[in-house]
Amino acid sequence: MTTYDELVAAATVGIAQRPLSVTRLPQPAGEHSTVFDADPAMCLLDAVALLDAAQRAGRLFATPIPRPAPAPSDGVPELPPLASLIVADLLRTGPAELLADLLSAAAHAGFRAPPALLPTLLSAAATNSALRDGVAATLGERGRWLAAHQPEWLRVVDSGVVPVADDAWETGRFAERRSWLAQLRRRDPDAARGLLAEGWMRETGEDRAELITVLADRLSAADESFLEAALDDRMAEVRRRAARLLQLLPGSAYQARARVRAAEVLHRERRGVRRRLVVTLPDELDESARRDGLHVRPHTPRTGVKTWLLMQIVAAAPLELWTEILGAAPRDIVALPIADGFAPDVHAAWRRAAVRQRNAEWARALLDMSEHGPSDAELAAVLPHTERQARVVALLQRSAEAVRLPAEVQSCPPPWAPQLAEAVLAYLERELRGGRSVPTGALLATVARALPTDHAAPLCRLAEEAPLTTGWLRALRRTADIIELRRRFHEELQ
Amino acid sequence: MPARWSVDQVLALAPDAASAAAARKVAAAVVWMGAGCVSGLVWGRYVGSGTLRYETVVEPGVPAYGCSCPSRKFPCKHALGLLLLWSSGDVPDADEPADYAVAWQQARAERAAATAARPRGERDEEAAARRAARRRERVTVGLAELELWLCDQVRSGLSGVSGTYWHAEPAAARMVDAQAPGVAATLRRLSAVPASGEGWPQRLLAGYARVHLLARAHTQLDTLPPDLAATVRNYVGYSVSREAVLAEPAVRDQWLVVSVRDIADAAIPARRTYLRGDKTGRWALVLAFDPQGQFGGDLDAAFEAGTALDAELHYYPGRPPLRVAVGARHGEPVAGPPPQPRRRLSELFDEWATVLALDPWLPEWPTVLCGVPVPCEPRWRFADETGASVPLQTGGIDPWILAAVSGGAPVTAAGEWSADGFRPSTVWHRETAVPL
Repeated sequence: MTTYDELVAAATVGIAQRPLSVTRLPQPAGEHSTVFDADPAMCLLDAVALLDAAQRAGRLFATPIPRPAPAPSDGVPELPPLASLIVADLLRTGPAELLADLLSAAAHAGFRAPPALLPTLLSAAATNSALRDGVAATLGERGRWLAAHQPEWLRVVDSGVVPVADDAWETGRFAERRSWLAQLRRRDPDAARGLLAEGWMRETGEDRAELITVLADRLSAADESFLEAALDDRMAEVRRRAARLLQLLPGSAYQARARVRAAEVLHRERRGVRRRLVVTLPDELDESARRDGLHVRPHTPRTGVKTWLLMQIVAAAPLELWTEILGAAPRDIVALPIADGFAPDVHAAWRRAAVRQRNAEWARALLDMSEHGPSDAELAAVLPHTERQARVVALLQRSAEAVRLPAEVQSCPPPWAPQLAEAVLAYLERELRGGRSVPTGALLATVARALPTDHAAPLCRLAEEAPLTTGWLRALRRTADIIELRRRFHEELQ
Repeated sequence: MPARWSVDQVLALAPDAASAAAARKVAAAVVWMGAGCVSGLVWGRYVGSGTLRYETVVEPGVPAYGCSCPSRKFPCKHALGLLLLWSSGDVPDADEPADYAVAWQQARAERAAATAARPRGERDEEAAARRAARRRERVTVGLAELELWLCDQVRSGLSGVSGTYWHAEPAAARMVDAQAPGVAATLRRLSAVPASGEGWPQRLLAGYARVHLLARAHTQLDTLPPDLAATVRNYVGYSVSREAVLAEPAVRDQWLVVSVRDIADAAIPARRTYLRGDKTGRWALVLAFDPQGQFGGDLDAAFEAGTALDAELHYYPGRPPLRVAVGARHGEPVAGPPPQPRRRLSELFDEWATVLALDPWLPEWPTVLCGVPVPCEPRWRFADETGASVPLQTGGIDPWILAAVSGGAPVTAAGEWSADGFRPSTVWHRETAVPL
């Protein structure tokens, strides 16, 4: 009996060196051994041809393997076909923000993404954080099942509600542990903190820095001693994050220390009827200030040391401090003159504090005051949705600050109130008729994303008016096309 | 009026990628005036910048295009743009065609009549037979030389070519001269085997043996059954004219498009479309070639998985019959049902053994399977209801789409089966075909 392996071995070395006479072949090839050529080389090729055919036709692949656990069934309906097509197109071409809007709308309307799009959606969301929430919201059971197969996909799910195993805290991957802890925190804040404290020193520095942020949810006075202790952590990032949380904790010892420091650097001076604020800077930071996360050296080399100190100290204090000690409303406080040219620094510090402490009253006062300064989308984001839009409408109607407008409009995420839509259209019309250059792509992208779909007709009329020689026609048409796309998408969700 | 096409169908007609992109740009309702469609005609006046105006007419059923623009691309972007607009339902139905559309259609009909009336050159059958005999002689001599070369390889030992990737190139060049292009292509593929990693001697030897088998079969062409002889001629590389195939009897059926696969890394990029007859249950393969890999304007490349077409197909000679030329088409493609899959891999193994017995060189065979894709290391597998599984070939596809559609439950997937495993191209999500 000559086996296939023997034939291969002989041919590899060469039958000139290792002669081989083919005798019988294994069945079923053996039935045809009458056809062999007399020449040994030809005979070898004949035999291999027979064995090759037999092996290809008879090779057994049927290895039994365990099948994976199937995905739970999902009662949520899939996106209708046209809406799915739009999502698939936007996944290829962008813009991601528009896609994120549509996905969120789809989730809100009670739909989930069709399975065939899930791998692309998960991969896109893994690399583009703008898509993360929208994708996480439309995954459905199937998407969460699929995401469990790849670590980077699992991180996407993490921003939504990821079903994690009961023993995830002891045995899970980091994302699963963090997710598990966040869910426990929501149910039982004290238990979550207790568990975190228990194994705290066994975690790596990086994991500690990540895990401590879980406490931002349901933050309370009960967390104070744990966070105070974290101010002495070995890892700088842990100390910084602990300080941030303590700043937000009303009545904490940290806040008391921050108040004392802030009240010392900034106070009111009265000269007759004139009032102004005066800055007195400390020469150096004491041990307690350094422990609270203040630094002598500025992060950016261009900031002066004094300015840096001042801003840190003022920004760390609760904003209520100033209304209390100055006895005035935020609006009046920000209007006070500040000695020695420190006004920009103090205002910058208040802006930072207003953003961190989500203080709308201060944000409003600071925005009113800095109407002619640079736009501050972060600060505007502290204001309620409608108020933010009303401010932009007012700005658009005055139309004075053409430079600032795009940024202001972009700071208004959809949905837009009709007033804002009309004001933006009127602004575009003025610019077009005035022969100005085409608005920035970013502005038009925001319009395309946020203009209510029932305002598309005026935009199309405007496009018809646009001269062919400038870029207006194309820019407006493209914008109108995207709005039409959104209209169709929302129609599908009805 | 034929059913509106999908965007992909329209774009498949574009002569190149640039045209497709340009067509998308002009497919906006605002740049078209007086667009309309009725009785198989779509027309519109394109309004470009300044005074630019073109009259565009398309007859999608043929398809035929007319446009007054000077573009040398065919079809031009205006025709494609208009079709895109039509496919999205933005061309309104009209009562009667515009004047220029009527004029174009008449002119076309006259041209067609003139072409048909021209007498076709009488074919010199004697000369053709002489050419064929000469060709057969050259191939025979060439293959005899190749046998000597193959024997030399086996005598001197395959280990001599270890790690190289061009050793069979001279032999392949000789086969081109001998007018056996099919054998030449096979040898070129085999050239790369010695550099393909562990187990290469057996793969190379098996490849040689198949070439040897082909050469031996060619010496007996006249005594082989006619269908087997045709298969041998096909692998050697004798071409069969499309006209000759279309003269064969037609098989009319409702043909379901189950799998479309682009072979981009071949010498000439090809698109393989597998169809399955609803009534006959027969398989059919439509091949389209395009050196640029764009497949624009070729109806044979415009099939969409999941659609069904009432058509007459003509099988190329050979066994098992598979490749076809598409003859008369009756109507437009419609959405088709999911195909009936094989539920057990053992049925597939039986069929594979049967077709290999008919054609031992067969590289792959179309199949529709029902099973579960299993992402396991090092390679994915595809398991049937009994738990039996085969390797899943994932080159050129995203297997995660398959997994997502399956969700761990059995799905219907269509593709190609080969000795290396199952290579799916389409998966059905309930009634909808999803290309992979």
